[in-house]
Amino acid sequence: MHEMSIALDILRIVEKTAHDHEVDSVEDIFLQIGSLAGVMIHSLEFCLEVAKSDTVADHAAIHIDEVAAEGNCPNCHQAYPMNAILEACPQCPEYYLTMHTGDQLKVVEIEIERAA
Amino acid sequence: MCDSCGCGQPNGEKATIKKVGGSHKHPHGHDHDHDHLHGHDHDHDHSHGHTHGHTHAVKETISVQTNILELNDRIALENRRLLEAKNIFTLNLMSSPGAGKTTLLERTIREYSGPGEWYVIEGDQQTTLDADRIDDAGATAVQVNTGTGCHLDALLVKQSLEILTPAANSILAIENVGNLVCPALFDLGETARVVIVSTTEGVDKPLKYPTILQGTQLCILNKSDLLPYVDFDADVFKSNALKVNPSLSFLTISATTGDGLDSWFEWLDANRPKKAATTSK
Ligand SMILES: Nc1nc2c(ncn2[C@@H]2O[C@H](COP(=O)(O)OP(=O)(O)OP(=O)(O)O)[C@@H](O)[C@H]2O)c(=O)[nH]1
Ligand SMILES: [Mg+2]
Ligand SMILES: [Zn+2]
Ligand SMILES: [Zn+2]
Ligand SMILES: [Zn+2]
Repeated sequence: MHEMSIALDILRIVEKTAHDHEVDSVEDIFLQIGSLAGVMIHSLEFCLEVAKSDTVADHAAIHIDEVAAEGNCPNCHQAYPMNAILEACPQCPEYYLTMHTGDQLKVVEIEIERAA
Repeated sequence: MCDSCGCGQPNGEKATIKKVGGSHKHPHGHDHDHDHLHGHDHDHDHSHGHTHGHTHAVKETISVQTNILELNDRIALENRRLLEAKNIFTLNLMSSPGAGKTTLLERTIREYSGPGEWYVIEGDQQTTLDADRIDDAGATAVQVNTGTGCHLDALLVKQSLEILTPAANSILAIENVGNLVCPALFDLGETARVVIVSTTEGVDKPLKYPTILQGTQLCILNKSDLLPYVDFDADVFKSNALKVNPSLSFLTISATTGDGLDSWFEWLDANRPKKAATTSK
């Protein structure tokens, strides 16, 4: 589950965005992580905390929006919450749900402060 | 750190890439010393000078909307373009530790009669043991030691390719770190993904680790010689795997006795890119 690699990639994306906008410090980082994206959120938070020191995100607050996974049944076409990647439809046990949300791993936005 | 597989200790050592042996095979080769390529370096220097007196700071939101795996995917695409241009058949071999990846590669390098040289990128946390075995089998090998990292990523493969410089129309096998969890998420630029599961692992593996089978073309059931001694129903295993990926193909082999290896060689023949690269560079 590679949370450290994910944390380093998040920081690279944040650093590049900060560079592109000519700022050297970031206040807030907003992430969207699907509940079935294969990332343990508390572990990711810990990795980010460790990895962000001495970067533009040194004192940034991390905000994680955990998106609950949901899938559709190919038979009855209803949407149901999913707790595992392989989950049968509660109505039609021989069909597996197709996930339509819940696998996101995304940097949504950052907040910076500029001197006015 | 990572509760599931212990990867990515923040203070752990970084990945190293080493070319093993091979000097007898490349009498005119140059020896490049790329011992300490670091996969995950931050090369900018960020100084945070304290500027005082800006009392009127305003907050500004910058929209990013970037997929976190996009960095890896972008490098994987570069790898894929480079490998396709040279018509190199690239396999990403994934399995639990000890399922038989290296044993299968050794035999394949020795016995597969199809055209083209073999090149191997060996991913392990420590040691060059596997790359040494591949070198003995007669292929050119690079060992990536990921330290505490539990998977190969596209950047490590890109750096390995710079050392390995595989010839056009060859076959490149990438033996991923033994792990059924994170390698699934990292595209390396391969032509095909192959997952090896051995008969000692239990028929429920596909249900426990569905992600690894989802983008995979071929599942090799290895250690078939042990079937009489273990409680493993290959049909149940296959039906579990098909629930996860209905288009998965299967081969049953024994990498030690050689049983079923011909079906693997046929799969290689059938799935290799058809056209030959026009350029030898
Ligand atoms: N009985 C039996 N043993 C096998 C077979 N294939 C591999 N082995 C044995 O399984 C052990 C592990 O094999 P390796 O080829 O090193 O496995 P690996 O997947 O490369 O392992 P890691 O790189 O450590 O993840 C060795 O002792 C092999 O001899 C097989 O078909 N049958
Ligand atoms: Mg091995
Ligand atoms: Zn991990
Ligand atoms: Zn249904
Ligand atoms: Zn990993």
